[in-house]
Amino acid sequence: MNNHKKRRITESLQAYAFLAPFIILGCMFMVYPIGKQFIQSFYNTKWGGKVVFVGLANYAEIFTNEIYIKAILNTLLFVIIAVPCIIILGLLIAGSIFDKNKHYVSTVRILLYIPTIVSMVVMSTIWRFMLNSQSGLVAYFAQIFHWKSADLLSSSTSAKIIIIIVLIIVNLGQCVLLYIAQMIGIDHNLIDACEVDGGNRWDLFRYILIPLSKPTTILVFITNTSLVLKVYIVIQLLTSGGPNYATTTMMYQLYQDAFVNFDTGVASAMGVLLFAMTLVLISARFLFTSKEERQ
Amino acid sequence: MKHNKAGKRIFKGKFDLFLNICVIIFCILSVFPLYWLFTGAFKFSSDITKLPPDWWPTRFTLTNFQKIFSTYPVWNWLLNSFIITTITVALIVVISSMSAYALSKMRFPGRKGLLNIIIACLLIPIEIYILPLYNYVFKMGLQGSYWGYILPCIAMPFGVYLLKNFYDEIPNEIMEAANIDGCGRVRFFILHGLPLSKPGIGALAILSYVQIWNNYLWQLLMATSDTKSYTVIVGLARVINSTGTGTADQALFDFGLRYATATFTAIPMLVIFLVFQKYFTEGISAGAVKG
Repeated sequence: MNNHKKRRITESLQAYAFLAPFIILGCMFMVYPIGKQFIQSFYNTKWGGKVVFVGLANYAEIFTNEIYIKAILNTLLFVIIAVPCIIILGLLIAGSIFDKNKHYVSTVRILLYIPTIVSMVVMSTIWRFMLNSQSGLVAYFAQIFHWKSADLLSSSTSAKIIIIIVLIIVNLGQCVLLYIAQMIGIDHNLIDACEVDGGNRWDLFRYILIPLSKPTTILVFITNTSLVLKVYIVIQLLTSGGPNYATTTMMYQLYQDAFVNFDTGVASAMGVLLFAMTLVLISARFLFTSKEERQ
Repeated sequence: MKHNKAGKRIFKGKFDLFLNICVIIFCILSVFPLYWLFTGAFKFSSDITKLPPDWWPTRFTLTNFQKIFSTYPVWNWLLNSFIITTITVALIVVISSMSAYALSKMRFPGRKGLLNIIIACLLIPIEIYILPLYNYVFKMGLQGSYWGYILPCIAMPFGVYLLKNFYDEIPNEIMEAANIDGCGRVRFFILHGLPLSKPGIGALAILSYVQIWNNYLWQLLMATSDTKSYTVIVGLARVINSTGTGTADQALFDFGLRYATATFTAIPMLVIFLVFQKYFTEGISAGAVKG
């Protein structure tokens, strides 16, 4: 018995030793900065480097300043439109190819995943070239089809639409990949039964693919929401938040305040807000997984 | 992959045809920009901006590439990206597999709590706490050094989570047999644990390689004013945003130069992806399905 207890203690100590590097680095470079940011959000650095306690003033600034309100609303708008589009398109694309020829499936998968691989910086760069109002391809199409304006990034509505389209194209690949992996695993008897009953592809979607893909849908929803919440690169390279703050986001304002305007207090408060939104997502994730385990 | 009876296609019809046409349109939408970029890199600047556009480089040229090699230290950028990413990924793999092994195969107080914290941290991106992290790393004097790029990215919750799923698949009986043989846990981990989780390690290595290579915001903050300290994607962003000052003078309105830099940046990851394509698919599915 004593021997057994001793063995358990050594096992625990060994386990902590195995975990030590991860925990130490995680605390240094993740937990500590997050805590520090929370504290910083109640302070403000005045000119000359004097740090003053300002209470909730930084948060008040965010919720009263028109630019920050725009940033929050835009971020939410991008999430509300882009994420459902990614999910619906991913579901439709995966569902219409998963039972087709193997080479066709893997080709589609590769082609759709390429934008994710080559980095947001490269993709945003190319889109910026193509959208250039004087010489880009879009200007050419505008000329052919006699659109009113060739400069799509100069009007606030079309700039928003462009950002959403780029977000969808860049994030679609992973979503399709997850859905295909999940759909290939579906019991084939179910699909055969649907076929025997004379169902067409829409019936296949309605009665089998959509209901059975629910866990993947939840996962895709959560990961993509977190990706769109922190959108920054596309904004910086395509629109710089313009025109007139029409496409600015929380992350873009955070970067501007932190590293361009050196307003540490407001930037920290924005960081805390983003963290709070992420916490909502995290609890949603735990809620769904525990619900599934109970079933 | 299972096929339907003797390859007979089912669920064909107008709706199916329509959907597959849409699929092909999306494939074109996602790859056409890259086609346009790669062909543009071999055109003269005046041809790139020509309307109607040249769909194929009619006057083929390599001047754009010669120009970027002589104007910017692109090879330094590539080397920086390569060194930083490789060291980071190596450390991620070592640290994650140790932690994942402990979480999956060892019993200790606080195991469940720690696991839940790691799962929660999966969704917290570096961007959210980037300002305090930057101040912290800056105070440590690491800005511009490789360690500044590397250290904050090593503790990756996703890595621990992915590998834990792989270790969970290894039956505990193997562990017990090893204990009877008098094989210590550390030795068992090195001799059997690591080899058994090879597919998981491969998936993690490839996925984190892309993620670290493309970690633009952090690399941007770690770069100093010395252009040689840039990584490729920071370098690209600088070339793209350069206005007519200093050495960037030539880049002003020089579309060829910009297309060539973007091409140069895109190619390494594209090659890695096409070579290891299978592992990406497996890794992403393995890391996610158990959500």
